[in-house]
Amino acid sequence: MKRLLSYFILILIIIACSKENGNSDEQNSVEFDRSTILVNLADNIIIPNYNAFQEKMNALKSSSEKFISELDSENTSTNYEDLHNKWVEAYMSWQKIELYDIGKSEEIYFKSKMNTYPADQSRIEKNISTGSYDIENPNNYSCQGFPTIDYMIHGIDDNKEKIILKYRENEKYGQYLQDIIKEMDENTTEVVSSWASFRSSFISSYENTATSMFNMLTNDFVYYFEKGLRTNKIGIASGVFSDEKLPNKIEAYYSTLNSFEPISKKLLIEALNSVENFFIGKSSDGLSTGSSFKTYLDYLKSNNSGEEDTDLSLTITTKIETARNTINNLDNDFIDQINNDNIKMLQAFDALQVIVVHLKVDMLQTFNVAVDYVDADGD
Amino acid sequence: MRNSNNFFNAFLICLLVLSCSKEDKDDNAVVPPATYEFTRDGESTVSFGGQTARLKMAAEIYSALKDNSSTKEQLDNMFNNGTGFSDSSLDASGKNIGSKTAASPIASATVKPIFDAMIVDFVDNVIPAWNDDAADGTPGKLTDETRSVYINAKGHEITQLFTKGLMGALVTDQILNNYLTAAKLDSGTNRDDQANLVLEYGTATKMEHYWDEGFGYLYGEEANVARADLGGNPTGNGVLVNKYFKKVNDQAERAGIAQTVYDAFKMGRAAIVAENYTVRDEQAEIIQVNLSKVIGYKAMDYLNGYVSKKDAGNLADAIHALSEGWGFILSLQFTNDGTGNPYFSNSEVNAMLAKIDNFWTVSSADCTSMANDIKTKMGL
Repeated sequence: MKRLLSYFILILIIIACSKENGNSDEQNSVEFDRSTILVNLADNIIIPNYNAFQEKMNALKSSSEKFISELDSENTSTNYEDLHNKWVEAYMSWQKIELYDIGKSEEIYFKSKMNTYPADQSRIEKNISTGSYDIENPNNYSCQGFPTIDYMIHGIDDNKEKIILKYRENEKYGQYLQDIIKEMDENTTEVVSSWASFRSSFISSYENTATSMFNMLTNDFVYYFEKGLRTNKIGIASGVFSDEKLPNKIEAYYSTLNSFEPISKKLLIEALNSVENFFIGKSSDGLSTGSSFKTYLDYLKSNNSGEEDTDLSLTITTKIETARNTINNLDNDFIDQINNDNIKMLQAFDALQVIVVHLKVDMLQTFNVAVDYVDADGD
Repeated sequence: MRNSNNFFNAFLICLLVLSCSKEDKDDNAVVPPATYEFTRDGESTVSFGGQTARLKMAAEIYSALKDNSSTKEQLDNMFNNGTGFSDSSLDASGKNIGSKTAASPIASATVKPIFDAMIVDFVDNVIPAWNDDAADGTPGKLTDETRSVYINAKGHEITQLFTKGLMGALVTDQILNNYLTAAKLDSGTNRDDQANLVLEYGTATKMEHYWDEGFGYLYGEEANVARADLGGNPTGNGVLVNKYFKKVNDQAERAGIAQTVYDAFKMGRAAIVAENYTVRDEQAEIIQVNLSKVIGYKAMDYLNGYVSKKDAGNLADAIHALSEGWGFILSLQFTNDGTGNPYFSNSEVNAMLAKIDNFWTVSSADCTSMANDIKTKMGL
């Protein structure tokens, strides 16, 4: 009898426990639908930005073809200017793309092929002169993409006339330029067109697992902010990871070095704006905002009353604004900035690092998403 | 008897059900061992060789920054590449200090270049003036009846600024703002790995090892960390925080701080083994607050020391004290008040350092007032 009683109590307690769980489920009955984030990001940001980028890529390709085919005409100088401008426009557009390193992009190493810098000058020259190279070889990631075009149109000599002369004298330059742009264009087409079928599996993969699209995209976003943006665009060149400053490692180095157009800051600001728009779910046309990391954070905050009352999404957007102001105060010419007053570069790094901590620690913790990359710390 | 056993069993099962539903295993009892000894299958799980190596490197750099035969290349190699030490095991360790200087997620990237610049200043300006008389704007040697110092044009005794700067920029930043943070301890799959005993570091899990590395930055030069009285009697070996940890603890009104920190290290480490992360984080907080105080005490003491030594007419001694003070003030931005924030931010520290930038013209009133600010803000 007593034995029965004890089992009865046991059962009661288990029921009590599960009742408690049931209640907390009920509280979350209007649970946030994470698929809405994926839908908004895919339809209003990722796909439109990919399409816009593809147009810029096509324009760059046409411009380079015109430049090469009319090398001996009086249009060459104008064609060269056009090629430079199309490179800038496509590079700006790329800043919105780099962070979605998911699906086909990840599979074909799109990001590495499009924007590994610094470009490997000596290897590029070797590729040009031999005309024989495997573009898929990872060692050639630094011999293609935007940084290599930068070298090809701003760095093979130190001014426009001399550069044009090189193309006229040695057709291998034109060949290589067109080959790498063709490669970029084909890779872009492959990635962009993959979204027609990829979209549906993307938006339906919102569960909290290490391999779900939601978790991977969230990690990509944080990783891009830390590595692609903070480290690559500011940190490495300003010497944060070395015992000396390395101004030749800035993005768009040759365009700055040879005084064509110092666009590194413009690219960085564009990247930061893209990150912000992605975070707040702002559509590519800028007309609307939708479900996003921000709205998800706001939802979790309002359902977590009593715990911490810090407004994380507001903190993040405020600090992005601060970082943007800090960056805007930098010289357009990052080489000069680094050589003459590097402390401002380091302060810009600090302003971005603060956000890294909020994203990587606070946001991921709030989402209960595990970080899928670990920094090697040398211990 | 039998029935009550059944009742007890049922109760246990209930407890299990309840505790299983908790991720943290907060109810797991944490029993710290008598000393910082942790074993698995009879083998020690504690290791922090990398930290010991770095502490020893700092001591050699401290000496090299007092030696007028040092070269830039040699000092840069010692600091940034971890080579060129008289102890060849340090060269072989594969470690260096430079990459761990102001390297935590909350550290400002503006700090590390200050250390690199000090090396250049010492070699380019102080060494060539080794036998000259120092004056405001002129590097050289300054002597009073208590000591001689070799200083730069602003009166900075660089070996002191550098080494005392590492108290925070290397030691407390790594311990308090890196290894003992939940972000570091829980990074990757560390909690799951702790539960499944994935032994990433020989006999130890990643989380255990991270905690030990934090421990090692403080106790890494102790001959025997299993010593029974390590808590109350740190040896003060080396040139970094342990030295001042002992000094502070030896002062009557501050005694006990060493035991508090040691007990928290022990308890926190035991909590990791027990997967009780609430207790772990509580211990981390105790260490964060108390080790920060060591930095605060010394910043305050040296500021006050400068004033009294100057008043006593011993300018070289005063400048020596202020050089140490400068380093401890720099270090204040690498403290941690237990909530993840330093007691003084990078810009607050820069404002303090700006006030004492030129040691020849520094105002005693500024030093006293800064010492009082530190005392008040840190509750010293």
